[in-house]
Amino acid sequence: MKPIRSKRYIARAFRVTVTVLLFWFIVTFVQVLTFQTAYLFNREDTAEGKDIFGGSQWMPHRSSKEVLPDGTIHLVYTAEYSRVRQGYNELQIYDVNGNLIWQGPDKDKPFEYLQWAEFPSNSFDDHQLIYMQYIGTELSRVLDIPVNSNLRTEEIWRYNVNGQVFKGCSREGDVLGYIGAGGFAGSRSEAVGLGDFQLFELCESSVLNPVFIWQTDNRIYEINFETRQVQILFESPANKIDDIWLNNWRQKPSEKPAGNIEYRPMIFCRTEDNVYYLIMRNPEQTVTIEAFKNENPNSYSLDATATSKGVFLLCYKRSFFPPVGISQKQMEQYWKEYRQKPGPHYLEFYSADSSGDIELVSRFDWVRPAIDESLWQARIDFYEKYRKMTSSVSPIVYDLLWRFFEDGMLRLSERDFGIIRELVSITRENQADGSFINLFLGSLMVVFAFWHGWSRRTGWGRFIFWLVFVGLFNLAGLLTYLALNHTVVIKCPVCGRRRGLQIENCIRCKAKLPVPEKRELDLILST
Amino acid sequence: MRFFALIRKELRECLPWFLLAFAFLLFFGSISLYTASLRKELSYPYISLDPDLPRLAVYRPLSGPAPLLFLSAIGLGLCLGIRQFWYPHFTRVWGFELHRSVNRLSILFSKMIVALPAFIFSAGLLWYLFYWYSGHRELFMVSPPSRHLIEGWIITSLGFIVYLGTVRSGLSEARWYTTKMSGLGFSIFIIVVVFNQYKIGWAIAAIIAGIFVFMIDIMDTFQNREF
Repeated sequence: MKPIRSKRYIARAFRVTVTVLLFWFIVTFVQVLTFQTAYLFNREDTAEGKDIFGGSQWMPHRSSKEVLPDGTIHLVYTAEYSRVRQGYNELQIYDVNGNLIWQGPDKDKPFEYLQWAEFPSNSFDDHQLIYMQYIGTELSRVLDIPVNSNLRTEEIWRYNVNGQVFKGCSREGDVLGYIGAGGFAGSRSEAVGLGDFQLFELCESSVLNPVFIWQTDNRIYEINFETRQVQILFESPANKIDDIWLNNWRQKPSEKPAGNIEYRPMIFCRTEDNVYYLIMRNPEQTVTIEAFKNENPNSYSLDATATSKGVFLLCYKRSFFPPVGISQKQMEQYWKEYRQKPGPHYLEFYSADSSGDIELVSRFDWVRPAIDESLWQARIDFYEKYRKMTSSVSPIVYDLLWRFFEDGMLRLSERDFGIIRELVSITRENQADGSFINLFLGSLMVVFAFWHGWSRRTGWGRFIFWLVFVGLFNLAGLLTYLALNHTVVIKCPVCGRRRGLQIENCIRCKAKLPVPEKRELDLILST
Repeated sequence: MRFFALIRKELRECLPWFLLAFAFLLFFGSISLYTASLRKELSYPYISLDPDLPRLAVYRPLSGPAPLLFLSAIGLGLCLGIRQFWYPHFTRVWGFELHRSVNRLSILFSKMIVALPAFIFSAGLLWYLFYWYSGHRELFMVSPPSRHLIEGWIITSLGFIVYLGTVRSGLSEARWYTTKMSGLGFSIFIIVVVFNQYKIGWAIAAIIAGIFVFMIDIMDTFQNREF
């Protein structure tokens, strides 16, 4: 193939790609806009606000379960919001047998419940670190930790994402040194990387000179930038740390929570092998809980707290749970079954000793009633109705991608960079699931392309390619086809049938395009 | 000689746009940098961990001139593309050029060879000057990371992508409501892709791919269309 011809083929392929991309973008935008507008104006039709559990009176599933230090479990209901009574603060407290013990405003309640470790609410995680590095019109951002004195910035510690160390600069711009896993170092070569970043939490209320809990894949550090100290609080060389929760960590005495329970500062963390660790202070102690190692992580959730009286765990379990590693469709089926059956649940309160052995103190069982599937279905149907309407012009390529490459698509959607994730999400949200109307409209478009292209065809290969193309890309494909192939049609002077002007010879009778007749003063044709 | 004559002609016609872009970026960019140097005291009064915009990560003296760089690069791309390809009767030279004894590619490349340095000098080099200035420790507490220099050049090359998109749209014989604007549309698509990357390598790859697609398409269109 001559270079000039191959270049032409490449150019054509790019032209088709660019055009279909643009029309696809426009069609998708209109689809999303239509769906959102329809949803906005019709959402009153849904079953939202109705009781999908059927409105039974005794509703332990609707209450929050609170535990007293002696292990007594209470069910706490929050009243509906009322302007007059200033709702949400109104509580009703029941015992596990359904007897009302107390009701009144929250601030007056006579019980002091245990406070559990919470997920760091003021944290900054690895996703935010990636988000920060996105190239934008205002450039990517860098993580700079300031050390202030009298509202004046004296030092800045900049995090090097690749080197995983902090580099400090003084107010005058001099390099102060580096902070890494081994603590402060005078030079870059001496500083050891902290490890793959997961999350940090600003753990002291003083925001002028911050102290951080810095979690990496295998370690939890406490970093004090003012004193340039790094302390390894926890290390798990073999297994990655999945989650951490904090309770009362480095709280100032002036901010001690009101109440008589004396909490110990604690970090509660879970590693990927399902082992839990409680890292405590006053005194320094680490307790390892291995009792849940063989449990399915989908079947329960675990809370922990440490007081001066002991270490306590609260385990919330349901007996029906999805197995680990099932596909998306299996998961949907699981949830359907889950909704249709009454679901036994139970709550177990344990105390733990210093060796990590746990002892059951109290337990509460209840059954979540089956969900009224018709109301639940009404919600799904409402969503599906509009989704099907807008997806009727979606490319069939979406269905093919999800049918044959589901695993690959799911892997792509888990990637961090935004646009691929968005594209995968669009294909999932707008796929037609082989709906009749989508296939019907697709067929109509192919028929139209056939009718339009028949007289304009320049070769069989090209003609068939465009028919398949329209079939695969639906409306975007048809618009692309028309944009790149529409030409004026004339009547062939030899055979009398319609022919396009893209090729010199008639596709049917092979006659050449007619040459205009010479006129008297036609300088171009006569010379 | 003919080729150099073409280049001189293009340069003469495009020089006002280079100088305008250069002056715009120099003037407003310098003001922005100077203002940033005065704000040193107020950089880190408090810490807030707003998940969307962590206040810990706001110290970027070049974040002021960067949108100006984007504006001037995009503007220069549009102006040069329109000036060179969209309104050929602007200076009534198309007929003259296309009917001289030079081939079409010489005309195309003479235009592009003039456009490329316009971006390098008016935006790329000026950005390097800003980066160098913001590295002065007596003015700014911490130097900007070297990544910001590369990001500035990436933004500059987005201007070149817009230029190619404008050229493609200008050369298209389709009507404006069909595929004429597809060149500009594709350049916007490349900008969206680049601004959705956090890895420099992917952004550069997207730009190279965009330039490759445009160049093949433009060369084919320019050689085959009727003037």
